[in-house]
Amino acid sequence: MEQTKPFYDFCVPFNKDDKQMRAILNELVELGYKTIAIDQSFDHSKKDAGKRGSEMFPAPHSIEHLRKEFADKLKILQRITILYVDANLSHAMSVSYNLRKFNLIAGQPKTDGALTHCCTTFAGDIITFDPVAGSRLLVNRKAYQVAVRRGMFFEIKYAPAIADSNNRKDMIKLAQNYSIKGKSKNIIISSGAEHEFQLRGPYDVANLAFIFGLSEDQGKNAVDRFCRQIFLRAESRRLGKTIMFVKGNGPIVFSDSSDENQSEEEDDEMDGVVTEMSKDGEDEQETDIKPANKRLKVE
Amino acid sequence: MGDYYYFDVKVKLRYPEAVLFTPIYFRGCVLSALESFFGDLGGKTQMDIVKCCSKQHRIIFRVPEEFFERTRTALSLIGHYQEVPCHFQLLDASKTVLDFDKDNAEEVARSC
Repeated sequence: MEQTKPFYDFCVPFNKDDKQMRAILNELVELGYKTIAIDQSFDHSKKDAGKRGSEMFPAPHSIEHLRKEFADKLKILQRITILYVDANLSHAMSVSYNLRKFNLIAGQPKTDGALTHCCTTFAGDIITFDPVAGSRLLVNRKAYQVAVRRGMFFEIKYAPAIADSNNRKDMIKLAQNYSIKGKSKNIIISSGAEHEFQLRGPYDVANLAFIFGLSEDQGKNAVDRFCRQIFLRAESRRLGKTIMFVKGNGPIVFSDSSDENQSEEEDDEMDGVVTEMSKDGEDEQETDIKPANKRLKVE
Repeated sequence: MGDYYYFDVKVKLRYPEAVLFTPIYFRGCVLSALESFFGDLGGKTQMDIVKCCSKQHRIIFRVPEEFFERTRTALSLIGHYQEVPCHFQLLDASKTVLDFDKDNAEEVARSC
């Protein structure tokens, strides 16, 4: 299984300036973050109508040099935030090859219709909002519950709240709406920081959650456990049906039970084992072990 | 002693040479942040500076226990110090009296 370590920051906007990007990543390391996602925005509504149907999503920026540089300090993921106004997006997303190259997909609705679509059918992981115009769109209770049931997470960014007091009011209003409509379920907090001075430590962020109407547990989960859940969900969406190899360390191996003779032999073998175990004084376990005998073989 | 919470804060600045770092200015910055976030009552927070190192931009101060959460929130939300982008990094917060690290206490004392 893909390993990730806490803490998480799933929104670090991509910056073309490598020096600035490095400064942000170094600050993240210093503050104690271990898994981050570099965010790339894409405005679907500005796309030409003629290009629809073909590959419309951009390929992820090349960040291999940063991954190598921070290999032992940070796990760097890539995320795309899709700004959109209509539901025509779904088909384009399902056929896009570029979209699969991103670890995380976030939706940023621009209209009420898009917000409802985002909560009910959007094939992504995160629902985010424009910090400038975010408070104009408030999610309703039903859509919120559907989104929670689908395993979607709502994102709150704290950097705009640091940069400007008007944005702060908007973010608090948005967050309080989450609290009223859905008890602040499935909420993650990420930075959205343009420069390193807008970053805050994970414990400070968990404390900031108080003003966003989250409880202490929800605040901690917003930078830790929920982000891990998003990552796992995103990985399963990317990979689809997969073959898993399970390696056991013990002496017991799984065997094909289709051959009846063989299974009988196995039964005999297991009976022996059970008798030996019962001799050791664990008589109570005998009944627990017997039902599994047909599927087990002892080497 | 248990009535106070102690904060150990380091101020990271984009242009450190462009600001004047003194306990008074620091106190003013934090109190104005408290007032803007939590209104007049927030601005009335009692705050005592315990230690300050101007060269390292590091400061230890204390607030009454009931103001702990709002002070910490205000510290997190401060983005500018004398109009210079900054980060008030909370190194430690405790109910017991804090001091600069024992290992480099002498060094800090000398530099201050």
